Amino acid sequence: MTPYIVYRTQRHNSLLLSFPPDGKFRDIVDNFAEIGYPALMVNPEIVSFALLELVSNSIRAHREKGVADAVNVRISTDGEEFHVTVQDSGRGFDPGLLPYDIGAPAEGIDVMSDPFCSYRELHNGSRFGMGLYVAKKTFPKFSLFFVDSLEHPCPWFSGKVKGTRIDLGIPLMKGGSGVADADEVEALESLEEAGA
Amino acid sequence: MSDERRETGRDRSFARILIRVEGRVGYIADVSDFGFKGLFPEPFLEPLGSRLVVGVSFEELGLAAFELSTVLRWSRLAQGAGEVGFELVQGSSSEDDLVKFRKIRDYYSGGNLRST
Repeated sequence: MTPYIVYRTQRHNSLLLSFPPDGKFRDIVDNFAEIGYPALMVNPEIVSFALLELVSNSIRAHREKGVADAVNVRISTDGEEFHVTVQDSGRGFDPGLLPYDIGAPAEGIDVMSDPFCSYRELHNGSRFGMGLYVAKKTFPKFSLFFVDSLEHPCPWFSGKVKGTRIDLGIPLMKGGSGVADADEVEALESLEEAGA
Repeated sequence: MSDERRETGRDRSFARILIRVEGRVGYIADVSDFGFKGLFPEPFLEPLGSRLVVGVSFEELGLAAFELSTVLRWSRLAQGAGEVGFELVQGSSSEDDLVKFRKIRDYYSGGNLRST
């Protein structure tokens, strides 16, 4: 069976979700709760949380910069992978202000390191610095770049940054059916634990 | 997959949690009057019955970060992620922090909604 995405009972191979910066956060959470992912080798709730983090970051940037454009999330599947692109017009950000090296593997990032603790103190504890970190940890394919007004990639220091684009990819479960089935995953995990 | 599982398998809440001593970050995936389900990107290996102070952040609701005293009641592996049941320890969290927790519960239960 060809893998597909379910959104509000409809099947899709590709789906675009747009979130206006003046919308309610609860509506964004509800939108992600309506997505039925194709069979992934990762917990689909973690996938949703990672995407919610990215959308929340983008919405905050739009609000801070007074940008009225929507934040766009395109999700798709090609039968081999599940792809996500999150794109905003939030004018980008200085990667040097993150509490870790954005290019470093997620496995080597220590969320209790001094830079993380300093980051939390800087934001009075209201931000944990988790968003990009969890996305990197969840999606084996992760790339982040800034784009100019023509949607061309450009460096942060160019002074031409219109927004941020994040491309994510995660393999589909081999032989999986259309959408994730918890029984199917649990059965596979049991086989793996048994050394099969 | 049955419709019943699909309905029950999707939670509609989101807030960030940080367990400092163990160095774990995760999310509140479901809220009740007495506690919440936490979801972590990795398996959660703390023993059942452990008392854990959980930092909570929900900037989108305009809440300053706060801490809750909890007991680990259950945990399981779910597709590589750690699902954990946290029960609030009565009398151990400050009233201010409990008020913030209730705001999150109300936000997702549909009561006292506010725009964010």
